[in-house]
Amino acid sequence: MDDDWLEEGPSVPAGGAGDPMVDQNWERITTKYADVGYREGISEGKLSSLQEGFDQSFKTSVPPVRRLGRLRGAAAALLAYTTGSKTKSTSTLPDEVLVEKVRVLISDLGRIKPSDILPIDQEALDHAKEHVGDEHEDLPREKKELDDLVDAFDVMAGQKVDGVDVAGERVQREDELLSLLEQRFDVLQRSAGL
Amino acid sequence: MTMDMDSTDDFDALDSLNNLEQTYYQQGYKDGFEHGRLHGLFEGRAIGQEKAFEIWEEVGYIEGIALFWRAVAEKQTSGQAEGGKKVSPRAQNHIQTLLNLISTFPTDNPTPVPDNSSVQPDASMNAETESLKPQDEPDLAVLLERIRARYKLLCSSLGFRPRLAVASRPEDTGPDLLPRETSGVEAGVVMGAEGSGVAKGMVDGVDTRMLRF
Repeated sequence: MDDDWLEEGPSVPAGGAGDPMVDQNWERITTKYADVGYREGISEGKLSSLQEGFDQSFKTSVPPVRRLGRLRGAAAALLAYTTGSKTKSTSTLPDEVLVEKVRVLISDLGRIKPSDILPIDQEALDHAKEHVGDEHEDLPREKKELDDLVDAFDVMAGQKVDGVDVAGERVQREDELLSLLEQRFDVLQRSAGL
Repeated sequence: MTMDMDSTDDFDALDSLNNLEQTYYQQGYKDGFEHGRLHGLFEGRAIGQEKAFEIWEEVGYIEGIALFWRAVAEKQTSGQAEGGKKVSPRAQNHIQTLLNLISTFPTDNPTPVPDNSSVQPDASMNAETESLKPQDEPDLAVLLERIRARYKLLCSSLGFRPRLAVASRPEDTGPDLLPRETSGVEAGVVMGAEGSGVAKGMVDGVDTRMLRF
């Protein structure tokens, strides 16, 4: 620090407006502190709402997940029932046909992914779009991409659940998809004489 | 930055610089906090979906089995269904117990507002997680184990093999996102005592290791 500088301009308070050092460093300082604050703020902000987000979506996710689980369980039980005994006088379909249909349903149910039945977080997607290229933004995109990949493989392998268009996009999802599957199960259950 | 400490002007300058730091830090913090809050919500929701799926797909599966066989048992009793396995009284007993257990299984996770002072930059992530654990942690894992055990009993009384690898689907993102605890659920949703009818539990299923900031 050179003393001349202080003596030359005592009327200009050091660190105040007009101090060349401040001008020089203004941007650097403010950016630095704002950045540090931002970084710490974002961590704390995140922690402040994680639980809230968890509780929100846990609650709303249970009903559709439960439906899917029930369907899977019931379909497995139906298969056991239809293969468990030869005497199905009440069955309206030949045993082999019914069993095969149940197997197909079970296989279709097995390919349902969580993202097929759980609501899309549109807010999160919109937010991610707003901040494309922002280094802070790394929302769980990988997961969606993985799902898309799985879908692509399914399409290639010619294995897709009913309700899929040519592009491999599932037409039905969530409630509609579950209803469709439930109907298929009901039909088979009735066919088994139940 | 160098300053001549001998001058009182410079002390003033330091003061105002301190204020400057504070002001910009606080502005940055505020902006960051708002942004972080959104991310917390989004991530919390994603984890909530994951946990709900992990837990309730299995419980639902078992429920589906139980409901199916209960329907079969009813038809058999009324003579409407001849085929299939006979559902023995023992199996019916297991079914009823299962359905009762499942009806007490938490579907919601109301978290009492935690007094974790979110504006305390020093609170470590682990301490945060710990503080979310209720003292009397009424065990979701225990309830799930009872359901599984009863399910296996039902299977053996019906003569079927229980479902294997209940929670191993490709979507499971592997050990990184899963709690380290043995049961795989313990760190998930921990609910209030069911008998009381008040689910006052909490979740610490939020894996803070996921936080990237």
